[in-house]
Amino acid sequence: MAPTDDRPESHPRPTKSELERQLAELRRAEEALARRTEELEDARSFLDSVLENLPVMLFVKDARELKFVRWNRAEEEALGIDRSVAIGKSDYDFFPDEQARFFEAKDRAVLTGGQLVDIPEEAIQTAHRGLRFLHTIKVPVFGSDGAPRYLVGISEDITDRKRAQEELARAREQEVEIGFKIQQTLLLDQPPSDLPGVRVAALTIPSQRIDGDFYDFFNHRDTCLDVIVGDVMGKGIPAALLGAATKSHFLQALSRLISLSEPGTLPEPKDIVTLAHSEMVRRLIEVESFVTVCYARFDLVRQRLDLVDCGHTTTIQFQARTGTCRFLQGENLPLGVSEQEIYEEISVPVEPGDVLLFYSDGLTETRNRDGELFGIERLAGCLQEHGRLEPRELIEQIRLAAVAFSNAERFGDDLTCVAVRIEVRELPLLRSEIEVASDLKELARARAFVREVCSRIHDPAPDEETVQQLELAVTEAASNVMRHAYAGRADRRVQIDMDVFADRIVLRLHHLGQSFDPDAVRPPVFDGTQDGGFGMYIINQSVDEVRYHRDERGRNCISMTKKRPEAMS
Amino acid sequence: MELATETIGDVTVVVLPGEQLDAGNAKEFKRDVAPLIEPCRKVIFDLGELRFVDSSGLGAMLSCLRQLNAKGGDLKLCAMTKPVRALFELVRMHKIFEIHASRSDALRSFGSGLT
Repeated sequence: MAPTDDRPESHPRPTKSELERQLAELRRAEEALARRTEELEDARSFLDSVLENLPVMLFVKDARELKFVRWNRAEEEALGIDRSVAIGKSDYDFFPDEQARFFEAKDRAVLTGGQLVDIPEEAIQTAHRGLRFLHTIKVPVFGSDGAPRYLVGISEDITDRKRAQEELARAREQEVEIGFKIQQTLLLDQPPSDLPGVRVAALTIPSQRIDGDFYDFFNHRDTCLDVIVGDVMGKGIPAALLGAATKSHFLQALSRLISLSEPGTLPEPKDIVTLAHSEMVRRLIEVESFVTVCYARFDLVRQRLDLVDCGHTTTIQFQARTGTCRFLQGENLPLGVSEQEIYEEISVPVEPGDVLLFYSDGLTETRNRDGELFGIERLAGCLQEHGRLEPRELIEQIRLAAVAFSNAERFGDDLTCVAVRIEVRELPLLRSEIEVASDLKELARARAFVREVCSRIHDPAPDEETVQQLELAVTEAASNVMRHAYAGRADRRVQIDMDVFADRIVLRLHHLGQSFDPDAVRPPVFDGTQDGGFGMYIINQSVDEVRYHRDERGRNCISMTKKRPEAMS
Repeated sequence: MELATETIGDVTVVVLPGEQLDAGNAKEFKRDVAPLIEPCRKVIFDLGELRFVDSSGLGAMLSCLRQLNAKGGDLKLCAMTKPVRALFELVRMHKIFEIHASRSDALRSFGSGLT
């Protein structure tokens, strides 16, 4: 066997230069190792400082025992647990059992699944910061043998965001509530209830989000009734406010034109719409919204309907004579589309028994389960079938039809509908009015007014008892208004009017004080122990019918009707 | 409010002035009549002039009745006109007040025969 170099005893003594070479090599290796170590050290401290300063919470658990091996500053701050406490411990050491079990289960799932798990929201009870909500991602880290070595958890505290979202949801709910209130108080008026020659009913079903549907009624001395029905593009409070603004522009335009008109004449609907539009078109364009409106005037004397349709839904007329429906549609653009728009009106004759139906597209665009629209034909069919009912009942039938069709009580859009039926016009034989101050000293004047009007009623003239009952009724009603509705203030006004028809006398008091709830009044006590509480009872006993409602001008009205005996002729 | 009173024996007669007693003057009446009937036990209201009474006027009279009843006295009404009678019947106060057709009837019922 030949001697070999790896036999040291037989190894030839290295030369000096050889030694030097070997030493240098060794040094180089040492230096490389030191550099490498330094580099690793650098990388490690770099990683440390990244992990440490990450704005998200980060922990690392060993895969076997699920004990924390890393715990960054964000974790310390968020959970209020110092790393010196956390390292080497498990979830069971900090959190209630139930929570710890939840965490552990997730951890195991991550490790066995070998995949990242995203936990969008987990609740965590912290020692010092109460209940917090985290969005957590858990990632397995594998060793060179392919087995999981670590579990890295990265969490973001979403408690504040979550609270902000809840706050937002609450704000939205509140917005719906405010919108609803705006709608009820500003957008929808009470239809006139005692207008001779016409009968009106209205329906609204508000949707989840307010639409800005509105309607309004202007009564012109009982000879004409203007009905405005509108729908603002958009939803929510902005739409509701725009609706309210539109209404007020119409009222303003109307009063301005009336003040410029010859006494006894009315401005035409197209002029009212044109003026109202010119006042608001710029602002509508600015806010990128528009309003569809139908301005209808019922001329009850000439039995005619003048209609300005500004892109609103097609008005449907039920014609009593033929029992059929026809559609009335204008060609004007909605308000807020074009500054140059000149509004035109269409006129059609109407007869007693005819019904005009105005509605928002929420009604015709109601869908059934198959996505089919309720549509105008179906609505017209409904009107044709129920056109001879009282408007209030007709509207209820329409509501029922829409509910049955869509199979829902609530609708995506506001659902508004106004029905106006032309009646045989009955003019009072006699009409008189007076205004008194809300001063109890004026009660005598109110009685004198009633007595004077009664003295002008003939065929038959009312008997003394009837006159006295009306005097009593007007005194008690006016006294209630002055003492309660106006809370004793003597500087307000009360308007009293009296209409005499062939079969009845209608005595009305109008005031702007507190409205009155007749149901809240306790029944009178007749045993002499109480001085008051007889007023309402006396009114009810003195006349045949008493109604408390809002009149066409928004005033509170007490309307008292006394039947007249039939004429002898 | 000017209230004329007359004393006949131990009975005080108050003549209600004016044609109406309503919410416009009932308070005034109540205020002014209270001291007049305060020392009395037997009182008659003569309603002969009165053509109209409303619930407030009625309330004022009820308050006088209770004031007198409280100290063992009584209030009687007389000479009621038809419309006033109608109101009293409407609210059944004719069952609460003793009502006489004339002042002398009322006086007699108090046991005072003088006219």
